Amino acid sequence: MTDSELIVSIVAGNRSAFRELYDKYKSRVYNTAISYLQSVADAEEVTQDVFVEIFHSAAKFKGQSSVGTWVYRITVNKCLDYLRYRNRKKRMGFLASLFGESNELKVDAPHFEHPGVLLENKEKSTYLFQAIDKLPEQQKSAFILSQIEELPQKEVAEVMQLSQKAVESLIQRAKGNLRKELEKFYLERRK
Amino acid sequence: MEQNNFSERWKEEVLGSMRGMKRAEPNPFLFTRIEARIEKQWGRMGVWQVRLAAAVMVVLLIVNSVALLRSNRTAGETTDAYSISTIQHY
Repeated sequence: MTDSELIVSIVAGNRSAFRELYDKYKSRVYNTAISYLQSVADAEEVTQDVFVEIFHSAAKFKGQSSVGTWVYRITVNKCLDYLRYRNRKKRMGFLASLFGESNELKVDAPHFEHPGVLLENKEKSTYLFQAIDKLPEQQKSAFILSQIEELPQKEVAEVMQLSQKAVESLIQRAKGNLRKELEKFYLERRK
Repeated sequence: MEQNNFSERWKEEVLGSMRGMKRAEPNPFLFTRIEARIEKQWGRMGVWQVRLAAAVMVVLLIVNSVALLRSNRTAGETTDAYSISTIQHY
């Protein structure tokens, strides 16, 4: 079945079509979520959210973009929502700790190791992820989709609903900011 | 100068550290969990849909009752007017 046929079948309530779509896109959704959230557990949580959303909003899919682009768009939005929620929770935890409540302050693991990175690159990739974490949302999305997910810029533009030029500029700015952040890490390492 | 070169080379290596990476695979039971969540939401939606249907029925009942009352009143007025004009004619 083509992607569009799968969507039509899902709308008709066909569970095996939903399974087929899941098998086709699970890896892309999960890996994108890992890059954003830098936590395997959170990435699994968001992957669930994405597929539940796909199931419920399949009827609203108008076919104006490809199914892949639509799936990536849902993934990016869910990841950004989850990051905002996590940051809010972190701030609340910090405030609670100031007032002496027992809620412990949960901070993300400082050195995230992506499970798919080659062994020889593990250490360097932890610095990259720490730097990515500091990027503003749009630069983060442009960088993750184009440099880690390796989507063509045209598709990144469709996912982010921006022009290709805007995406190009976001990627350049992201790389510039990452270099600045990495410079700090480099100097810290030398101390 | 040399220091700068080292730093630039290191940054390039870090930026390229994701090259050749393998895709991570999610937990094999993730789909079962997704299905369970969908089932749970269907259950919740059922209750919500029942409430919505009940509300729509109440609204329809009120609209129909009002329409029926109005049409009865209009029909009565029309019949009276017709009778008076017929009597006057004779």
